[in-house]
Amino acid sequence: MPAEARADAERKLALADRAALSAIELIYREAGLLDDQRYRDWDELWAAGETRYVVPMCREVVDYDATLNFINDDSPMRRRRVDRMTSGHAGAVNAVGRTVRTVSRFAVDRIGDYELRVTSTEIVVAYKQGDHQVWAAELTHHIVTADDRPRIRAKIVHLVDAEHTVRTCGFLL
Amino acid sequence: MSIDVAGRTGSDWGSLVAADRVSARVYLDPEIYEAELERIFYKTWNCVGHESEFPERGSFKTRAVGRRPVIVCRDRNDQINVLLNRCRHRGALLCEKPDGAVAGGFTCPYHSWSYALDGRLRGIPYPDGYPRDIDKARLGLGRLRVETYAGLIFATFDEDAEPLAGFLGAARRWIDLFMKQGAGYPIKVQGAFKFRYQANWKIQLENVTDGYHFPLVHRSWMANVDAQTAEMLSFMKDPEAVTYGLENGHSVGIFVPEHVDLDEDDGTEALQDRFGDLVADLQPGLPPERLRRLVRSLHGAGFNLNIFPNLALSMGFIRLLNPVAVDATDNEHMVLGYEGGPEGANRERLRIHEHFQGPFGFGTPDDSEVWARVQRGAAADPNMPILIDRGLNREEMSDEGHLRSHVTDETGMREAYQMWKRLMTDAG
Repeated sequence: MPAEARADAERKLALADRAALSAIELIYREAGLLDDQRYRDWDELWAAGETRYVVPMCREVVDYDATLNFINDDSPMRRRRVDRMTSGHAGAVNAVGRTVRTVSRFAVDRIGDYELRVTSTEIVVAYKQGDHQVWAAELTHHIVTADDRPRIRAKIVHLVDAEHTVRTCGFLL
Repeated sequence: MSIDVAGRTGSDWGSLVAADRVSARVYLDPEIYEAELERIFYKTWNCVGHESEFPERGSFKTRAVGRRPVIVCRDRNDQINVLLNRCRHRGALLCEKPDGAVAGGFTCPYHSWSYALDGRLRGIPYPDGYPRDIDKARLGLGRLRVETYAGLIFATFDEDAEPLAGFLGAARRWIDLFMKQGAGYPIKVQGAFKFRYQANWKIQLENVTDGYHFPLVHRSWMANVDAQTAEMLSFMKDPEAVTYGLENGHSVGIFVPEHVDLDEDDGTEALQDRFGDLVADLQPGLPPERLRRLVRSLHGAGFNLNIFPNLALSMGFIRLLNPVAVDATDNEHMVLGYEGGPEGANRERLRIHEHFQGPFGFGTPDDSEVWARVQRGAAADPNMPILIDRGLNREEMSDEGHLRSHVTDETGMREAYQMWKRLMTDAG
């Protein structure tokens, strides 16, 4: 959970740390790709092998597979999601106006020789048909750093209103 | 037949519905929405949940019927109660949590008046300000009348409403068929998506038995699932895929004819390859017939059943709608599972539900988008009728006395609007 992850990050890296900076840079790049709806390029940010992209419906969940989630994608399912988003045949995706998002409040800690955990906040303003929606979430990224380029191994999006009534969504958080 | 709605501002709502069309005003007019709350939602039976959501004494959920917030809970005698979520003293909302469990009952956050799980007033702090013989029995929470059928909890504000069994009528047989997806295990709700879309509630009601839109609106989902699942839902030209208008506004649309009665199995249907890992896991412990019965039920029943006005039983899930404004509707999509059944099978059902349903599913957002599009588009001319005549040319009466047409036809919508008309006119 983000709050615990932040507390754990007493051993967190200084933001000026080279590894921390490259992880944050990756998350900024990801935010831009998602706002630009460049989902194929976004997919390239993910690590090979086993990954997880989750938007849970409850903060306390530890076993996402045992519960209902808004999104619970392993690597193949994430690619199918990208296929849908880029198919041109998904009405909700086609109807998306524009989104702009801010990610901030980064805290980075090292959880393995080649893995960082980054917590942050995400505020998305989505505009469509005269209507502005605000989506707010706490993010936890697991970033692997084994190659020269950092990659996303896991991303958990805790919506502030996950346990309540939300709007249907034609873009990604 | 024509509808003359030009300039009409009165409350002759019945004239807005004809056999083959309805006025677009039924989606658009706030006055009609207010009348619907009073004449439909506060009069007839609304589904407010499933018994499995309340496993223990003290389990509760907060929901709403129209604009009236309610608490659904199980009391100390194992009875399900539906209570108005409003303190009898000065009106504060008693409970704001979406769900949970309480030991004794509910206490108002304002002056701590406390109520038992059956709504009885238990305590008033500093009672000296009231007569010693204050009649607490008169100061219990508002209570709705409650009846259940097949685990579904229905409530009504109208003490004089006809018994639930009569209201459900012919739909009861279909509810029984729907519940067969438990495959020998009691059915349980595993979780629910809650979301709001910007359209009138009836646009979704229509959609439940609208096979016509499925391969079009859900093209991205059809292209995304495995070939066997896509084939299972390829009903556009299947003559056995039919819709029945039942009675009292209810209707059923059959999308997967071979899964209407999951107890019937001629053995010719191949189990889907996507469930291969699950089959391999369960094979050592389950006899082949039970395994086959379970796996054939993973997608749920082969039909969508519309129970007017707010419930749909839709393949593997229960759908509740609640109209929160003339142009906004709240939804819950409650995914079902097997109580005490194999964990792997329950997880398959969760993944199936996540794939199509919910705010980030591959299907629901596209439905919501077109419904909102109807809401905005219909406003272009409120007097131009909405056409619900598809299939009138091939509709026929079944042996049971129900109108039947193809599942891509609008028989279910016609059934719902005739009920709407009955309830919205003085005859209702």
